Amino acid sequence: MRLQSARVRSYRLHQDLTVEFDPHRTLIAGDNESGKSTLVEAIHRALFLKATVTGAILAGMRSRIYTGHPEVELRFTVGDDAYHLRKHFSGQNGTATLSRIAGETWQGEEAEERLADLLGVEPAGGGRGIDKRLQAQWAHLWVWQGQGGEDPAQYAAAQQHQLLQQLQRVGGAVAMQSALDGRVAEHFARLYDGIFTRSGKPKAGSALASAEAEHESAQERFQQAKSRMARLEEAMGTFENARETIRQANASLAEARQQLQATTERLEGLGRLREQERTQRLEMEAIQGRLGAAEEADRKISELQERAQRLQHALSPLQSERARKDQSLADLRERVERARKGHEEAKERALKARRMRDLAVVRERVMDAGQQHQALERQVAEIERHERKIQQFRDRLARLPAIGREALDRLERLDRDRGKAKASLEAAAPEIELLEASLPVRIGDRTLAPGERLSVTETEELEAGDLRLRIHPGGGESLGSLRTRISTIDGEIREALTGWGLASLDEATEVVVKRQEIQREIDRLQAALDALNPESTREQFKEAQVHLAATQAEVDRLQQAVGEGKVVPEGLEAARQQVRHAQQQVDSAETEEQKAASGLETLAKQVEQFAQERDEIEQSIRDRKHEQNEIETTIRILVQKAGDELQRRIERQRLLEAKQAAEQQLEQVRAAIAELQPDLLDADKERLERVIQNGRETISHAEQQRAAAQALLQTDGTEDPRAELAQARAGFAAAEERLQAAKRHASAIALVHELFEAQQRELAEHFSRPLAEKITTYLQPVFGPQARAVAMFDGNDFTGVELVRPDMPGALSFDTLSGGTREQVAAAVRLAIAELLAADHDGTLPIVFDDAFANSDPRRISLLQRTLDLGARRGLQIIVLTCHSAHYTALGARQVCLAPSRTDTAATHRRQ
Amino acid sequence: MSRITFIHTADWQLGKPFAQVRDPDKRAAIRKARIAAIDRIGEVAAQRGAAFVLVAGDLFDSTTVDKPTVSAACAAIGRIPVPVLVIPGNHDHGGPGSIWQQPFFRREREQLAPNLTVLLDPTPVVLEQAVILPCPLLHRTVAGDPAAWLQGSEVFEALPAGLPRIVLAHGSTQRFVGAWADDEEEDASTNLIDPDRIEAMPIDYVALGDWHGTLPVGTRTWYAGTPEPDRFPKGTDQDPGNVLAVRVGHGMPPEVERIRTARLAWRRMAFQFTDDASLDRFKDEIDRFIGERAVETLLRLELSGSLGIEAHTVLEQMLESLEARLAWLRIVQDVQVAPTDTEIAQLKERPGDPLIAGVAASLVDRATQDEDPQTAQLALRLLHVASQQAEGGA
Repeated sequence: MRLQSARVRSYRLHQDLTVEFDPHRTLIAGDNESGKSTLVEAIHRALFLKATVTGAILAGMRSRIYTGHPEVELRFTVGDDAYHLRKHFSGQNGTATLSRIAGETWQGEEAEERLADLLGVEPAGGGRGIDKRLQAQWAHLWVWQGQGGEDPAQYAAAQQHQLLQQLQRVGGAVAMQSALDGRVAEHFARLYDGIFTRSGKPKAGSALASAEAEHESAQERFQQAKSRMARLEEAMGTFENARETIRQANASLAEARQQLQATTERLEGLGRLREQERTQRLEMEAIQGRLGAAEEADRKISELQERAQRLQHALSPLQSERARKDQSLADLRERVERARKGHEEAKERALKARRMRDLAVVRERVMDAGQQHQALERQVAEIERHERKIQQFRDRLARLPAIGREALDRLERLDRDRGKAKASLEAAAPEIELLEASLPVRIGDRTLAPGERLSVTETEELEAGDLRLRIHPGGGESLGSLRTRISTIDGEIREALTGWGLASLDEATEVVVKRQEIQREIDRLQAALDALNPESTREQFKEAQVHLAATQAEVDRLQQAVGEGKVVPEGLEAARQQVRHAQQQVDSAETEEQKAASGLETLAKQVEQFAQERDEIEQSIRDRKHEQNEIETTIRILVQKAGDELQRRIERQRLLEAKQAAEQQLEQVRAAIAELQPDLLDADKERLERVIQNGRETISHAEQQRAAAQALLQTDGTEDPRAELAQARAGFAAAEERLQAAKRHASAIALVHELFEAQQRELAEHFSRPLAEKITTYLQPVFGPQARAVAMFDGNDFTGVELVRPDMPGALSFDTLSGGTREQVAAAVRLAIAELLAADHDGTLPIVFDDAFANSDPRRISLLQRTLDLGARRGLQIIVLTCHSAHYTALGARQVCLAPSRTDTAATHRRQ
Repeated sequence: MSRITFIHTADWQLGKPFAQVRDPDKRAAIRKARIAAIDRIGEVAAQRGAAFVLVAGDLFDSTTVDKPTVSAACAAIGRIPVPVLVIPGNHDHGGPGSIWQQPFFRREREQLAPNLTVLLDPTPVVLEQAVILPCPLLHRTVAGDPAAWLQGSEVFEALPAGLPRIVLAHGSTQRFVGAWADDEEEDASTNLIDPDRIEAMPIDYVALGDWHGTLPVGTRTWYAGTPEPDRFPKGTDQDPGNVLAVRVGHGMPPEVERIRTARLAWRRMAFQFTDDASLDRFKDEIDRFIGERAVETLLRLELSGSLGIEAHTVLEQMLESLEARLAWLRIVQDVQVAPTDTEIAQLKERPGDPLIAGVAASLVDRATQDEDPQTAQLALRLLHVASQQAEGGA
């Protein structure tokens, strides 16, 4: 099929456009909005859309600029026949006319059907979804604007049937898979997917997986039944063993008990013997004790008797010594009496001498005191003379006014002040002298006589006739205040002088001088008096008087005691002589007294010593006698208890014999005890008790085991473990069998499935290779001679195209290619498919590229011209629409230029 | 001296699980058949005017049978009109935890089977008509002769004179070591009884249990066999499914009568398929073999040879029916799938379906050469079926 021309009227922006197509290569150039895409859409709709179409799709075709219904006319050839197609899209009234040149004409529905037949398509119909269905028509040949880079595999898939037929034809004798093949392969694929996961493992829920699970649980059940049975059997063994253990243990227990009985009896015998031994030992000890006591008593008695005798011997020498001592003592006491008397006398003499001496001393003191008294008496008289003189001067002073120096100074100061004040007053006051007046001149309240001078000391008014003058004395202090001061001072001075009874200041000065003279005299006398120390002198004098009186009184007292006899001394020296003499008397008498006292003391000590010695002897005698008494009492008691000597001897003999008998018995009992081997006996008992205990424990343990085993064996009968084991075993065997069957079944399915896959792969290879080779021829002009295409075919569908380039590793899937490369690869695929499908269409088909290489760079577009040209050379009708016509000049195509806006035109055609 | 009659039986094996029977209903039916046999023994005892019934061991299949079995057994024994004396055998030995000591059994025996006496001691039991010398098995295995206690003249001197003496024992005799060993049970080297030694004693009959076929092993010594067979016979000379009515008098040789009690037919059959036509032969043979007794027949079917794909499917359907109809069908199968030339051609020669043809060719190769031909055979069958179905559905 080949397009020859198209005329488009009232179709969107086209009012009436006619385009003539080159049979091989047409380039439709035009700027944006020049209506390129509209043109190809109009052609496409003429071919595939019913003329009676309505609704949105028709509305979209109508022109907003031009009146009339859209209309498209096409001229095309199919084989040797040329056809003219005219579709007038006027809604339900739309018309379609198809006529073969020089042949028949079809109208309406018939025309539509005939057209679909010529194009080899199913009519797209109308109604809902027409957009999509329309778009799918010849989608492999019609590259709409913006779809240049879409995956061409989908178009291949859409044309699957025809494509495969062509490929089968091209690929050789290989048969295509049949529908039955497909269904059976699909059936096994489904079965396989039902059984296996992607990783080839049994799928959950599959027969194989459940057989495996069943097998596992049957095995588990079998193992459980086996182990339960094993436990039962073990319990049986345990039970029997325990029973045997109990039997044996009971036997040995009985024997041990018998032995223990015998041992216990022997131990009881031993106990009795030991008790006997103890009693006998105690008895023997008692006898021995009594024997010892008897011997002890004997020994004690004789010892005491010996001691009593010794005491008696020692007593008589002591008694004669005592008598001697009594005599010596009497002599000594007499001598002491004599010495005491001598001593008394010496004491009396010494006393007397001391009193004589005391008197002498006091007399000496009286003399001395009298002398001191006289001297002091004279000093007191002198003092009194001075005091009288001072009094006289004071009296004179008292008669003068008592003007002190300070008072005088004050007065003199006042006097000077008054003088100064007066001088000031006179200096300040104006002096008025009336020299002459006809009229009486009055000043103040008095009249001034002519020639009179008047000192005006204060403001005065002067009147003379009708003349009145006021005089203001001026300067310094006011004259009034000066006058006041002067009078004040005068008052003060007067007052002071009046107080003193004086007339003038000079008198006062005189008085003061006099007073000073008297005062000086008083001071002089006072100093002399003070030098005499009147106070203490008077005091001493008083004391001397008292002392003298006291001393005299002492003399009188002593004199009384001594009595008359001694001459009263004449003077102090004599008194002193007397004192010395009396002292000598005292010394001599005191020496005598001491001598007597000393002798007395010596004697007294002797008496004391003798008396002590005598007392000691006396005590010694008393002690011995006491001891003797005690010994004799003891002997008496002892004899009373133990009897006399004969009785005692008989008793001792009896005890000795008893002791020997007891010893013999004890020996026998001990021998009997040793015979029983007590140490071993205890050990035996312990050992046998241990044996019995162990036996009991063994039995108890075995009984527990037996009970436990019995409990285990005591089945409740709800099921039979043996039967269960048999069931489980059979179940396991069955599960095993089923598992093997399931595995075999799964393997068989896997095998068939894999074989189908292998077959399909092989088949796919047959189909995909020629397509890939065809695509490769279209790729190489752009990507070089090493580039290669790989077509992916799964036995039913083409699923994709991959590009292999020498400079890149591996095959690149379409998705991974860049936008430009995708456009170029997609173009190659479309050209390949179109070339293959063209066989069904008289060897040619138009292929439209509307702005299909928008992402390709100019170099690639330039290379693409070779690809497009190759398609044209192989019989395809290449129609390229572009707004960059310069890029396609290398195609060498007929160029049709669409102006951006036109009213009514045929496009400009130009052969390049 | 007069004779008395008693029934000698053994190996009832009540409660045997028949675990290999997968269908629970069929399994229950086989188990029930063993209880039903007891009633027939009761009938025989009544008919023959037996004084008592002796069960020579293995009354129960295990020492741990479940309660329903115990109750059913006691009820059935209770219906026997004469005393029943039992010794424990190796299956139901009187050892620790044995069924005989379980309180439930004791209660049920008391309430349902007062005529049942379990002899657990190896001491003479003097009945009115006879003296029973029981040799109970008190352990699972006794290394030695369970009748060893019957030794020395004093044992027999103490017995009352004039009464027939019957030994009741369970175990194998040396002559049968291994001869009756079933697949999974019984070590025949234990519980060995020496029949010659016993026959030399002053006794009148030895009632043995353990061997499931009826069999005399001496002039006075018999295995009664099981009254209801419980396994597929290994040879043709075995005769299970009887009880013995024994007439015995002291000092006289016993008179023994076999009486058939079996209901179930345990059968073995082997068949080899030579070609698809042999399938019809097989069908005829089966029909003949089973006859009208499908419900009572237990069949062990051993198949071999090979069949074409379709014939194999037919065989499978046949076996499916058979399995449902019989009391039990145990198939020991090794039938190869060998597609017929036609079948191979059907699959391989499909120019219109190149994939199926290719896969089929590959599978045929594998089925004949591969190391795992069975999988390939199965795959071939699956492909065959799937193709036919797809064709049918297309």
